[in-house]
Amino acid sequence: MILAGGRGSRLNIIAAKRAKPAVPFGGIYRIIDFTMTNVMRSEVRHLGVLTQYRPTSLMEHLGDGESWDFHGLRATFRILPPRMGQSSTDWYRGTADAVFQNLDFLEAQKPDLVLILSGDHIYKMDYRPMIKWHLETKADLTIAGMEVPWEEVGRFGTMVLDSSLRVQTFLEKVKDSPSNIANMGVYCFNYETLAQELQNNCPKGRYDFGADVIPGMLGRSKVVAFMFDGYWRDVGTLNSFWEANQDALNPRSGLDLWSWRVRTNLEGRGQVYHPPAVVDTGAKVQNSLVSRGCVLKGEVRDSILSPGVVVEENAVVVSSVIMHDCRIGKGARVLRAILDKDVVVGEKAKIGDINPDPGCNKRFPTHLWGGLVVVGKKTEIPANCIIEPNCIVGAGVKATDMPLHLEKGESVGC
Amino acid sequence: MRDLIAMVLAGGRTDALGVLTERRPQSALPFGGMFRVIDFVLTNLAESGVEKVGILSQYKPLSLMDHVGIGRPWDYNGRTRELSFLPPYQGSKEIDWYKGTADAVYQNLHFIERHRPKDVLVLSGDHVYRMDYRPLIAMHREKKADLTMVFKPIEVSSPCRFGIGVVGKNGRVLRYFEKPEVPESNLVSLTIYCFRREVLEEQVKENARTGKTFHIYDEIIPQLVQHGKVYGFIFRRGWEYLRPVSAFYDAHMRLLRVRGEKVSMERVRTNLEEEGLAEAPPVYFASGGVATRSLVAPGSMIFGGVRRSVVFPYVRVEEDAFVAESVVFHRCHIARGARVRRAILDKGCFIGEGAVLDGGDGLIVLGKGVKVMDGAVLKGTMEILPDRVVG
Repeated sequence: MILAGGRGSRLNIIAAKRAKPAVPFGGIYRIIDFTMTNVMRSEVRHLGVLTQYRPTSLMEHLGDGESWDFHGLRATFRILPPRMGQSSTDWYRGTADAVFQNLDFLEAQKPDLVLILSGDHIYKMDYRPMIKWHLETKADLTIAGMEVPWEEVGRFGTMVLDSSLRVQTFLEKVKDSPSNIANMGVYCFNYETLAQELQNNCPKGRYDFGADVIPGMLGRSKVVAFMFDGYWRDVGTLNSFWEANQDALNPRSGLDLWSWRVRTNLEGRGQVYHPPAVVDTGAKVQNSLVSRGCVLKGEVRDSILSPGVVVEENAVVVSSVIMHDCRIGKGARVLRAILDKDVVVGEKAKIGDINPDPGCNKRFPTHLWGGLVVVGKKTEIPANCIIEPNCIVGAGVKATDMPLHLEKGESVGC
Repeated sequence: MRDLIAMVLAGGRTDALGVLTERRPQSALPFGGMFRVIDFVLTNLAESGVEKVGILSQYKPLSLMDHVGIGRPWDYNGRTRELSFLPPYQGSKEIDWYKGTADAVYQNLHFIERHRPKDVLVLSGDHVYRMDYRPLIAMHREKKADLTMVFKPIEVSSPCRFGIGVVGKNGRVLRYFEKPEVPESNLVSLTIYCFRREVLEEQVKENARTGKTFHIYDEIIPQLVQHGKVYGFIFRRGWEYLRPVSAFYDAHMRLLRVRGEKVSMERVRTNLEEEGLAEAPPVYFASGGVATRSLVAPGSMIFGGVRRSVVFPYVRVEEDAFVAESVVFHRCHIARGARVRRAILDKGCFIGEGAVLDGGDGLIVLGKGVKVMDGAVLKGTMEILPDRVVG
């Protein structure tokens, strides 16, 4: 079961109209592709995807699951949105509740084990060794964990383990955790245990795996950890989203798209129709990922370009994430920025700055800091416009409604 | 379009492309960075709304059959659309290999009979062009023609290697000459034919009795021009014949130019499940790499230089290596410091460190999987057979 209903509010405008798992990543992918590919390569043949927040683009992307080889008689692929239950509309009230409301789907599959996964993370993992470990240790629940740097411990749920990797304590995001083993949000449950725990917790208003269900199981059930030591990122904030995209440029970061062979739905956004990328005379492309249908005449450095991006003559794109079909006008500069789909940057406009900035966005200080700029879908940046670091420009802003100068930390149209 | 079917001649063996077609028919040849030649005709057919397509294949059809499958990438599935492979089969006598294009159609009259369309498009799968066939079909029907064939005005040489037509003011084809010594006009036949079904059936049956070469262009066209109602449809956009190998190369160089005639690759569909295309990440251009005037397909990594070249998926150009004016097929690896100029590299070639390949004024063509050793120097026109180790 993939939990893909997350709102991703700290991704701000790029996750405002799509669920976080549907946010484009690495040029041609969406975040959920990584988990979908893991499930496929682990040969798990029965999959439910739990959706809730703005699921349209996610549902379109997942389609009937065929891009990840979910077809044929021995495979199940089901999108599981909330539905009307006994009481009014039962929105999923938490991660555990989402699974609880779909126990009938699980029951029909008659599984021995259930993997509960998050659709929000960038990682490559074969779940089979974890399943083997789960069976060997005769656990009721196995939780994938990985060591994180001590200074980042506060960003994760953590687990205190004994020498046999049995989970002693389970802590939701706390700064002074005695453990630096993070909970990756990858759970392997015995089906019987899962069904029982959900029936015990959810009707009593305990709706969350991390906060309610798992802490309650410690001591009573056998909960063990499975240690993972590969690349794993929760791209929860605009900054971590930008950083993970930068990691995609460097296989040594651990995010190696060439060996991961991540699959995506190539039908989306007419990607399938695009010819190979064109690098024209005058173009200078350095340390960048360039997708199909891009036409480059200017300079591109340390950036990730989705399909159909056009960079005109003398334009400069540095350290940026540029999504589908954006057009960067002649002589424009886009520096340390995230541009959502279909953004048009007018001639000689300047977005962001080549250097980091110590400040943050004034309205959303916890969403955007360090000097990045974010521009929403279909926004038009007028010619000669200057947008300083830490600014957020919302989606669909017309050139005529844009100020010609946006000072540090300002927000417009959101 | 329910009352029309298409037959695509895609299996012909050709020697004109040397090592490139040693193990595949011309229609299965990679083209344009990530396509195969036949993708263009299949995209044309799909976009023209032609719903029934038969592919006549003969020479080593496996790679073609793998690629085309049941036609899903071109949307040939569903209740009303169909794409069928029509390979030679054992007839009443022995194995009836297709003796020529007319014979290939003759042996598949059952396919035409099954659908009983009003008209039949007979096309070659060996050429690269983008064309909406609907205006051609409309003209054919409006003129109530027996056959409407497509011509393109180009600069022709003597002797001419194409079929040449003389077309009157009303569009009627007055005279037709196959490969004439001295061409009478500049209108070249593109081997795109729209036949009235009854006429095609009658002609190929007649040809099966009396034919010598069993080719449509040799025997049926001249016959029909003399005795039937044949019209010429003029097409003026890009069309690539791709033979001989220099034409295949020039067609790729034309894809790179800014102005002038070239074949558009927008919206051309291909089978992405081949060659790991569905799993290919975007192209990676490294720091210190230089790429100009080039087409580069997904999955490739460019650490060195690429200029005026077409690079297919999963190619790796290492640091200080340089590829210029070349066509590099899937999975080639150009090692550090190697230089490649005016060359066509078939799939999976390896060019060793510091090796030099320079086609000079001609062209170097490496067959599939050729390995050029470190420091080897190859200069001038040459062709290397598949899987050879050189240097």
